[in-house]
Amino acid sequence: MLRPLLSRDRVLLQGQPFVTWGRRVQPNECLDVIATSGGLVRLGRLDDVLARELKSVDRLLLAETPTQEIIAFLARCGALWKNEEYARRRLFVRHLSAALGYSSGMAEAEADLIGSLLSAHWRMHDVLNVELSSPHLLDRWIAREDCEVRAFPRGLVVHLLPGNVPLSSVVSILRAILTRNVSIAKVAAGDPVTALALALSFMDVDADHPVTRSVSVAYWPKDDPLGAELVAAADAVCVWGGSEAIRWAQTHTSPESPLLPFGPKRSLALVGRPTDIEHAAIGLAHDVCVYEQRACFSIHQAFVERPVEPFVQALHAALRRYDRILPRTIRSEDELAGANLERLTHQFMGSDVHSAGTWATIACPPDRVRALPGARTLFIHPVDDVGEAFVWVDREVQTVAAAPWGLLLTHRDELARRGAARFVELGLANLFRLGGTHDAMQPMAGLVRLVATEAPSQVHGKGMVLALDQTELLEHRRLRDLIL
Amino acid sequence: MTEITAAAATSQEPGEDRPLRAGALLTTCHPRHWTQTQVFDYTTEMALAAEDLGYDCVWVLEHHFTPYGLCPNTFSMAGYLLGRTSRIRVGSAIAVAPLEHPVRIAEQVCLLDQLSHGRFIAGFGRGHFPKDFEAFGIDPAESAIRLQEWVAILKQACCKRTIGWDSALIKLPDAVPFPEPFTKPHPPIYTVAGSPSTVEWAASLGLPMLMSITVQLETLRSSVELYNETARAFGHDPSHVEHVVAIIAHVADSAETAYDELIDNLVWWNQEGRDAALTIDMLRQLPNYRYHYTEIQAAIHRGDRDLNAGVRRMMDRSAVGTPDQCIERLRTIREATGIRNFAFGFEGVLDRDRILDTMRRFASEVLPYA
Repeated sequence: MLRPLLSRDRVLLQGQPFVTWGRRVQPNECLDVIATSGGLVRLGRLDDVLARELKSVDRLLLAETPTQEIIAFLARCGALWKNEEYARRRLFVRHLSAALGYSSGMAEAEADLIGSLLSAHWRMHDVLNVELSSPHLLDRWIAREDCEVRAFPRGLVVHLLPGNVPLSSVVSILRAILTRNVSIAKVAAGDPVTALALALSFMDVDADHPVTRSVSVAYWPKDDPLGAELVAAADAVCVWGGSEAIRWAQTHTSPESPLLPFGPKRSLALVGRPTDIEHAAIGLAHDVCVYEQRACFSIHQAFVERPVEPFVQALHAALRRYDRILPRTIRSEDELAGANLERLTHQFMGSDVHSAGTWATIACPPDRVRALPGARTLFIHPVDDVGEAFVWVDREVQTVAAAPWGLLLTHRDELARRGAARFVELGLANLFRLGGTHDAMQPMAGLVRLVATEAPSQVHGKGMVLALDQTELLEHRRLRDLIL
Repeated sequence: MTEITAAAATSQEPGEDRPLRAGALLTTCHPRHWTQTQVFDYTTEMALAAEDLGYDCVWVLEHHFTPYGLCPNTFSMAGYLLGRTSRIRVGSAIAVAPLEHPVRIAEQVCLLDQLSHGRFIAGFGRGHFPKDFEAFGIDPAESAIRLQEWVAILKQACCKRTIGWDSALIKLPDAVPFPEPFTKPHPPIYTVAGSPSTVEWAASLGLPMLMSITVQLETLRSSVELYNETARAFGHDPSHVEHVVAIIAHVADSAETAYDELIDNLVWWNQEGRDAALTIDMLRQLPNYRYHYTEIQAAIHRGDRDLNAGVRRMMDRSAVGTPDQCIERLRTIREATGIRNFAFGFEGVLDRDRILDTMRRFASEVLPYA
């Protein structure tokens, strides 16, 4: 649907620049796009010159920068982000509020998370260890059985970033940096703020540092041929978003390059008989309110074992508390209209709708749910046993959050077989714990090439009792003795 | 949710068409090979040369108890220089506002404004040297709020013609201050703005900022962006605000020569400043200096606490080198920050003749082309 041009005074952000390999660029052409908040944002548009510049990068620019130097640089940047007296952070908070409709509290919390993520140097070592088997696999050859293995960057990673969860944009770019790739981050119209703020903060730390020069941030509209060319030229593509975005990326990504899709997913909660109902309720309220149900891990449906009334009462109190902790974001008219329509429809259908203005719970059987409207709308499905939820679990389910946590130990095998990718305690849906997976992947493994140097013939190797002379073995028909 | 609605014109930076304005910083720093009298004589010569060479402004600095700068009173010094000149503007960059009585500030600013027919620029900061606070009996924890209130009293004295004030810091009677300002509604007021909180305060009042090249250009730009957004929110048009950026300036026949001529002197001068400034332990105890505390932390992480490396980085960001390199550097700063008003620190060579020569070369070989 093409909207009429909105008046200029509704443009919330003007003249957002691009970053090309550590250099701020003001594009010649601009577009007005509608951000998540429903307001207009004026973004630069990719043109031939910029596209050529983006493609002409040295793809191994970061390849020889030691991991410890990369992590130290990121930590320095994180220290800036953690400081409320950092101008870029203040601009980020303002711009995030404008583009995503965040309250200042939510935007400040997001800035804190970015600061923590960037400065979590120990965690970065651990993540490399988990996903690549060693934090040093990009630094040197690591002995592994009869081989020495080393990881090399794939080269150019194009990120088609999400518009719903700012932190995800940072995570996507960080993964590429830690694996020493160079990145073109294509921002979503919904969040044109986060990736740009990150790249500019790199320039604040050191404009000439290889990490700074390894990141570009740009925008192009849907189906833009120059954008498609960049995706086709990528050595790996990370795409976040709905099925349409992922299909587009699949169409244009080179067959030789891995495509890492994040989304589209939905998440749900299982509530058994927790010993601490208030704790479980506040956990569910958190998982409903954080990111305004726009994230893959946001909870939209909760299967609650009967009797549900005590839990629902505690949940309503918790949702009221979250009105204060994370004040509701400004929502677009579309989003509000969709949520109100669902609430009214369910009232008409006889569901038990409890609407408090800023949030709503709708108690109904799961087969009555037609859409998940978001805007802090939670469907509560009373069940005799949480096992009744299984039939509603498929490969579109990312996170299953449970209270008590022990429920997961009982049901995780069945839920995983049906397609669920991640199990967490209620209240922790947005925290991806160390060692975990993301949409059933370990993404950093997809961003490197694993190269092996195999041992020479003098090395028998494990399981061998003969020297590795294949000619000799063939001549004497001793191949059966080659491997024991 | 996020469709494209319309194409728009290329955005233009505010004030892109304004000409460059050049000023000279008069630090009154005192190296051992100069007497104190020579420091002031040379400073006066620089101011007179700046006027003759067409510079727009000279800036005088306030310091106490340190050879980092011998001028303890910018108003007196400005008054002298305004009296010796007829065209050039003279600014304080800065007067340490919290150390003075606000009514004295208002009276002196208006007096200089009257005497010079509007050639005085009142630049203020909150102070950064512990001995100053100790000697004048001021709590450094109050420095920011004192600066803000004192500036508000100055503006009120000029615009509303009363000094009446009632706050936790000071109570002033409802009295009419004299003289009234020559410049209406008030003489130009600048403020040092390093921390985002100060940037936002300055922007809320539409006061231009005095900045320095001690940070990355992108950081400088982010401060200007934060200023612009805040100013707009308070109804000020930021395109009419002339911020000033202070940079080192030195011309030689090669960049290497230029660097070599400055490095030892600048390391000495910065060391004097560092020795006199609030220490990291003091800053840690002062929430209103959190920005400065974290800046020092960041400098340690970058390795910039090694003064030699830090000074070199500062020269990299400044106009130091051949005339062409200086031109290029000024253009880069203008493009990156939108700032067109420079306060040049010519004194790094610490040689009277070379300083005056650099000012001449800058005026003829750099500024017309930057």
